[in-house]
Amino acid sequence: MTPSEVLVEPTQTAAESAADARPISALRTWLASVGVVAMIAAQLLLILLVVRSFRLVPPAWGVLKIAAAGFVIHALVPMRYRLPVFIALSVGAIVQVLGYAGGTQLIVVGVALIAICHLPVAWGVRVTMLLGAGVFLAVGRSGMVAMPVGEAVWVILGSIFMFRLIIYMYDIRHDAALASWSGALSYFLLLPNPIFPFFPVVDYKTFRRSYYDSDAASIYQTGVAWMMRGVVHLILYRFVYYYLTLAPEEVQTSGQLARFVIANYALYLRVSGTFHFIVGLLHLFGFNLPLSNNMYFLASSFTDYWRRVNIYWKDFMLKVFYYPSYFWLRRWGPLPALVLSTLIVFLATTVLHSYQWFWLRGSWYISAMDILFWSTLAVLVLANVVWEAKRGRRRTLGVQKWSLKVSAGRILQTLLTFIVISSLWSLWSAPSLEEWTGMWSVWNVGAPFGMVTGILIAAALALLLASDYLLSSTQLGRRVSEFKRSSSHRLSPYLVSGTLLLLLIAGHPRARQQFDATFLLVVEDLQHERLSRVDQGQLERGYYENLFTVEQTNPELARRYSQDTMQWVSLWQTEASRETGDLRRLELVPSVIMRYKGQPFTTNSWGMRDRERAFAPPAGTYRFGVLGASTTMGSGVADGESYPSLIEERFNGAPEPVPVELLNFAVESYNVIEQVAVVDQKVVQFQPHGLLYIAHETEFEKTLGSLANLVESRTDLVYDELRDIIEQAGLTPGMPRTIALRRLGAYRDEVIAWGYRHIASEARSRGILPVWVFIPMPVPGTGPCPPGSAQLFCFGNLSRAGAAADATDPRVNRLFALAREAGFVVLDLSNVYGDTELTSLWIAAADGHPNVAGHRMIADGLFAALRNDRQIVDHLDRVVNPRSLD
Amino acid sequence: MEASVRTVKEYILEQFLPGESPDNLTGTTPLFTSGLLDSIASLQLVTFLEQEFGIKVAAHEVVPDNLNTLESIAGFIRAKRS
Repeated sequence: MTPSEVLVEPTQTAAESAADARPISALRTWLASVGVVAMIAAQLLLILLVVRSFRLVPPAWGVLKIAAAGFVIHALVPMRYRLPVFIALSVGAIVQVLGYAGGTQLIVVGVALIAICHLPVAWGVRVTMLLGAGVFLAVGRSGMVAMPVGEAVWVILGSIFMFRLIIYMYDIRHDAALASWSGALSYFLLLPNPIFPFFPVVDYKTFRRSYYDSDAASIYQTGVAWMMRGVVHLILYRFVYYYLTLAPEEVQTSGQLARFVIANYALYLRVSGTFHFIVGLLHLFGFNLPLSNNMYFLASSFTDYWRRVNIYWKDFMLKVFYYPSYFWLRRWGPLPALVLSTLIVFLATTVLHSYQWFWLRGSWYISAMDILFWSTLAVLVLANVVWEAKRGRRRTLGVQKWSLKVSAGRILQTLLTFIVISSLWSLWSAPSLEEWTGMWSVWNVGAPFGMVTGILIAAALALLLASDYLLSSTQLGRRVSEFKRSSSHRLSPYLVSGTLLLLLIAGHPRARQQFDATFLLVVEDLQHERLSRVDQGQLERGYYENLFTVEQTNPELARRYSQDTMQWVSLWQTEASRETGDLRRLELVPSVIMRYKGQPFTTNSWGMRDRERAFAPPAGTYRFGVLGASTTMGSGVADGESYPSLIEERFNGAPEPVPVELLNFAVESYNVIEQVAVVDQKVVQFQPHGLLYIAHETEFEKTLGSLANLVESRTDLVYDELRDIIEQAGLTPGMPRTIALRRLGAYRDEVIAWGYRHIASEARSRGILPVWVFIPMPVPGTGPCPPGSAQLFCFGNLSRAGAAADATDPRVNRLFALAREAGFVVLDLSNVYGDTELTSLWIAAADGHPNVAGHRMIADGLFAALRNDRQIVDHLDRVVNPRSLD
Repeated sequence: MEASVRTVKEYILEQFLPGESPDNLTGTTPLFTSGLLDSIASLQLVTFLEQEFGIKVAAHEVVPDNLNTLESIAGFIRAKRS
């Protein structure tokens, strides 16, 4: 049989052929296939339920329904109709995501590209034409020339064709029999692609060769098993992302450094999870594709890592770059050819990662860190390649004879590979080499882990050694291997269903009602898609993380994915803001009328998001000045819907109205430093009686970030106390931000204490009552690890997973203390959201600012707190009629 | 067993599987898809095939279809020779 013959898709299964001859056996065969389909469909249903329960791929829901229903139809129709059914489903998925207009645009451009591949002219001419078409489309994608192609269409179009066209042309050059319209359409318009723009580079020849190359039941079962594996990876990713990631400036000890590096590397679970899910889904349509990632954390060398991680990319590189360049270069000898072709592969990888970024995000991505990462990895892999070429590597077909030296050596190699690769990953996502080395400067500060963690790690290594011995050189090991080989397929449906059912049960609200377990709280938190504590600080994310959020830079795709929030811009990019050149950096422009985050947004003639106010309060009216940031300003809610406005309404509209005003001085992103300037420059002019200082759990991080920005922009710090802190911390303009923030971290209490003292004393000196109010953001978070704890495996306070921050968070607790020490009246609104699911209070899925309901809850809570605090009531009584407050 | 299969088997056992029992390497043992032969090993094997059987292998022919088992290697050698 020639390779071409193997690649022709089957038109009939063996069972179908036999069944054609005998009608009774046809019925029996059909019933058997219905049984198989039902069993797979049941597992698929469980997968969809878990995906929905954990909101794993929110934009994918519509397409997943098409895929699930399509699977049943596809699997039950005769073989000759299956490929057309798959193509029809793929077109349906495109239309479902992009709509009729966008879908038509994509299909028209796509069909034109495929048509070029099949033109009856020389291969070289077709490649030249495709290059021309690619350049033409790239001009459109870059926005240099406007083309009638929607923003969302560009992403999916790029995702489909950027690599697959290269592979397709390569394959049909060497085997013309592979060129077919049905093959091309099924290959390019892959069903899951519209919902996963970041897609594995599927090989065309493998795609065709693997089509029903084994019995259907086995292919389908592998598919659901891999989808389940993907689901587990995605949930684990979320755990790492929510609980383990640290911001670079938080890395202060060797333990935190270890945690940062490991967590950063583990974020790749999102890639492997998504790829397992995609490839598993393709199995349901008969494409028996190979594994896309294979236990990469267990790689025992750099070449081994290269073989295990993103295997489809590795195969693409081997096929299109490595082998051709090796064969061309081998005239200079095998070793130089090996070395040079390996380098070519890494050069191509670096360039093509940028090329991929361009098609998915519309801009070029090439950074010094990118080049440094790939070249370092290239050197490591190259050294390993040369070593293996000269010394070979250990291979075995059967059971290996166990030796302590070999086994311990393998575990040590695996450990070292893990450490080096995870360190390299941290380099890749660092903003600069200086920042990265700055972060590593703490490698010798403190112990990386405590005694308990150390014992656990030692126990895990001993367990690995023991299991290696048991599995490789004992009768038990042989039996286990044999059982795995003979029964894994039979057991797979039970394992898949059991795992999925457990996840569903753990995530069910009834489970939480029945059992008061921290684990279930964590599961509940993992069921929501949100930003991690670190990303809430608006920190940069790595290459792959950004490719998974292409919709954030593509409003139309975001809309298609039903995430309207993504088109929102920062307030500082709108006409409502202007630079001040002082500590506030930016302020609201007076008398602006516009829309912000989809809501009416107006400012009064004083540049406040408030109605018009006179300098002096009306006689007999108690006036509060409110200092806050985006939430208090009402980010994402309409004018008059922010909680200060609602509280004012409540005071004045109560059965016995109390004349109270709340003047909203809040501005997005303001914190302690800016508030000091606002009090001195603005608030005092309006002669308030009381001052409400609103604090959130991010007070420390945001304030230090602001201070670093002020130093960087060489802004006059005005206050000697601030200047002293900066001098002591040794901050200078041009210093890497991570280092600046880490240095400032040592003075965080001093900065906040100075600001609080200044505001409170300034207020009291004018007879204004300073009130400090803690209002948590409606964002779940467990807070950082307590200072001084072993940091490597500290998950924060898991017993509060899914809940908003409160005083059990060490940061918040410290804020309370500093506010009291400064002389504020302190109000705690930690429980303002009660048992309400926090995500239901967000203005949008990716924006945790409180919506109207959230503002009403805050208004209720703060209104009650103001009326119940004796000091505030007494102060208010002195201005307004005291009887109205009884 | 075909002479070419025997020769290739001996080479693989000696080069990549020293100490392995010859009985474990059959005509249908997967070499590529099992990860036994990686990119470096496959290039070494190709060089051996070219020298031993006087054939010329092209880059696009270094694929599992041609090199995954002793049987497919034998078929590949036959096809190249014919």
